[in-house]
Amino acid sequence: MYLHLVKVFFKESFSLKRLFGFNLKENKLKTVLIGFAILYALVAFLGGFGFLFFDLAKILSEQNQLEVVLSFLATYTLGLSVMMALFRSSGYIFHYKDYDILAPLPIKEQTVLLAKLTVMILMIYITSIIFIAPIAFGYFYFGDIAFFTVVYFILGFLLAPLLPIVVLSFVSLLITTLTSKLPGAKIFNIIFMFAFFLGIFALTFSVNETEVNPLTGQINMVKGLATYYPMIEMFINSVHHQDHVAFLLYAGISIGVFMLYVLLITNLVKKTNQSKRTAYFNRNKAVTFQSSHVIMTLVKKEFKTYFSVPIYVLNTGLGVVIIIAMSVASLFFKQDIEAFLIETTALNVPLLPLILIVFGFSIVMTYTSAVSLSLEGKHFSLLKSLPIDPHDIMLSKVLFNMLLVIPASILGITLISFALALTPVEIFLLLLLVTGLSTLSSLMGSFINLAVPKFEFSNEVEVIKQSIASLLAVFGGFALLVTFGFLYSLLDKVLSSNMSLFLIGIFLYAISIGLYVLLKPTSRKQFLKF
Amino acid sequence: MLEIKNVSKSYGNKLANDQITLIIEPGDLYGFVGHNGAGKTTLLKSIAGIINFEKGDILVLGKSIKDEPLEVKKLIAYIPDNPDIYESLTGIEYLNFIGDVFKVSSLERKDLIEQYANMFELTSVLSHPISSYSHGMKQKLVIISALIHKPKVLLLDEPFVGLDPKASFLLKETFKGLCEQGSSIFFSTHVLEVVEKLCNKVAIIKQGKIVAQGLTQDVIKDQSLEHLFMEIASEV
Repeated sequence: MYLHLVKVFFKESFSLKRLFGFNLKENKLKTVLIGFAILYALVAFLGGFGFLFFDLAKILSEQNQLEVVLSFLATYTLGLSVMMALFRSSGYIFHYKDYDILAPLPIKEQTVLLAKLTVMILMIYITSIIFIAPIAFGYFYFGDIAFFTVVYFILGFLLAPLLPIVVLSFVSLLITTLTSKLPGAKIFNIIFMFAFFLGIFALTFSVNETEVNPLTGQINMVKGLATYYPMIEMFINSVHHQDHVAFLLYAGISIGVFMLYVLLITNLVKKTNQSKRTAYFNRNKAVTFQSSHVIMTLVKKEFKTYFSVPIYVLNTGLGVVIIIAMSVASLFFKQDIEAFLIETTALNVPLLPLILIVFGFSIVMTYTSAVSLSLEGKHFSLLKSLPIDPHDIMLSKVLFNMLLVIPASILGITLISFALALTPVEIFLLLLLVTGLSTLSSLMGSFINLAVPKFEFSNEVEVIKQSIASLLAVFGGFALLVTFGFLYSLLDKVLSSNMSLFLIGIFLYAISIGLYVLLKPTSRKQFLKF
Repeated sequence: MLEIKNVSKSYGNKLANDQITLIIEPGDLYGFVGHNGAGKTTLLKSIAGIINFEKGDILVLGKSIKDEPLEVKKLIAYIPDNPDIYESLTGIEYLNFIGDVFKVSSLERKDLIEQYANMFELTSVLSHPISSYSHGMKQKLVIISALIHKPKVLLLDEPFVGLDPKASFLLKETFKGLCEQGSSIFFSTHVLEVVEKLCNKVAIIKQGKIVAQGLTQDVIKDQSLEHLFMEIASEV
């Protein structure tokens, strides 16, 4: 029965139709195009990430410290396991969405739990393998390939997520339980998650001294983690030194603790699944009967949806948070920035494009318009039944994305301009380009979502993180930045830097206007197909 | 067959089921009516072992859902009010999954699935993903999944919602057939005419308490069930 359940849960989480949002056999052209886009993204990622780790492995191998590559591997697996366990275990283990289907069936609760945990671990393997494969290649290319090295490496990797799941699932449950009783629980959750991620960034960069390879700066942090989490040391000793005792200890602790966990939490899982989750709400809140324009109402709805799904905010709001955090930080670390600028201007790198690169990446990371139509899910038919022009629906989603990113960007530019004492012309150019890019990427997102919507999902994460639209939006945004970077390098040869930027800004607005005009017929045409 | 003894269940301060006692005999076709939020789904879910209850006990063929949950679940089938099932599976994959859970042999499974799929006109779409089904088709699939393991007690929450008139008629006929074979059916509904015409017994729940129960003709006497229901609903 365990295998049956694993098969069903796996299919429910990873079926191609669910992943892509459309039937692959019936949409061959779409499948081929998206296949190419994914392949391109994967090759670009594996190539870039793989090169960095290949280079790092080479440097470390020359210094006779190749085992440090294994520390990276263990840290990345640990990090991904921690994140997935933290964000998914409360819903996936303690509050099954399919509890009403499973509970009346004559299946042992422990079997269901074990199958759920297995699928969650499989999710971690699938996500981790994309990061682990390039690192492992670097390690094995420069290291000795002995039988036990390979065996312990594979088994070590497979066992790595067990302990993080045990610990983080409780943290996840605790956060959900505590915050659900508070007013503004979701906002509290969002703040906690941003604090968690910004903490990780701060930790990474606090020890980061970039030299030849940006990863070399992280060596101290990765090494330091092994002292706090001895399992990493055991894993390294097992694989690199083929230490059998270390492996037995590593495997024994991982499996033992995990089995004990399964035995002990079965009752807790039953209890949490049976309990009705009731969120805090203010019973005395006054009822209002205010009317507003249909687009305004739709934008308001977008805001409500946005802040009611913490994972949505976390994934699409990180860019906005980075802009604000970075701009505020610029006021306090003025001297460091000036020192950095003296260094870069000595290398003939102009200031404005540097600032724009950082803003650009943060802007394209805000991609709500690429997923918000999909997030309507089963309610889309309701929206479609209302007398609203499809164009208004899509426009409200574009406006919402712009409202998220543009005010933060303007604030960011104001603060940075103050910190770096920029001239009015430079401030104008920054504003022109940042608002232009925000408008264009917001419009681009809505076209992507119209092309590849995904209305069927059991968890919002499937749309926000794992849908083709979200991948296309992020990688398409990066491609947009690369294209404009290339355009700048061409224009810069014949025009001044400021004039080149001005022309690019005008170009951004020109494309945006074109897309805006196209949005009406496209949305009307696409809505008829859904 | 099914004994509900003094069952109480609360959500925080709200008592959803208040000392409910009901006995459903073999062959009973038992209708369960009450207004929205009266506690019908809570009781059905408690019987099916989906939710726990604080007081009382529920026995199926003498086995307690609290003490022997797996043994009880082997004897029952529960159909929820919303057929929200694994949409990535195809219809036949879902039926096979349920068949495997209840250890229905391949031969018997084939016969029953073919029989019920033909009856509910689902044969041509069994190989399609459930995500492509309409609400009514999903409801029919869930009903077939409940019937293929020949449950002793069939629990249904609003089973007629979303079904076309033909499927409703066939379901009623199936109910009668199952009861003639000795199974018991306990279902909630808002369609009072169905209870009046179909059920030999009825229970009315109001604010978590059973306010009327017994043989349908004894409960409604010389009036209609609708009339009785409205009378009970208006009582303070």
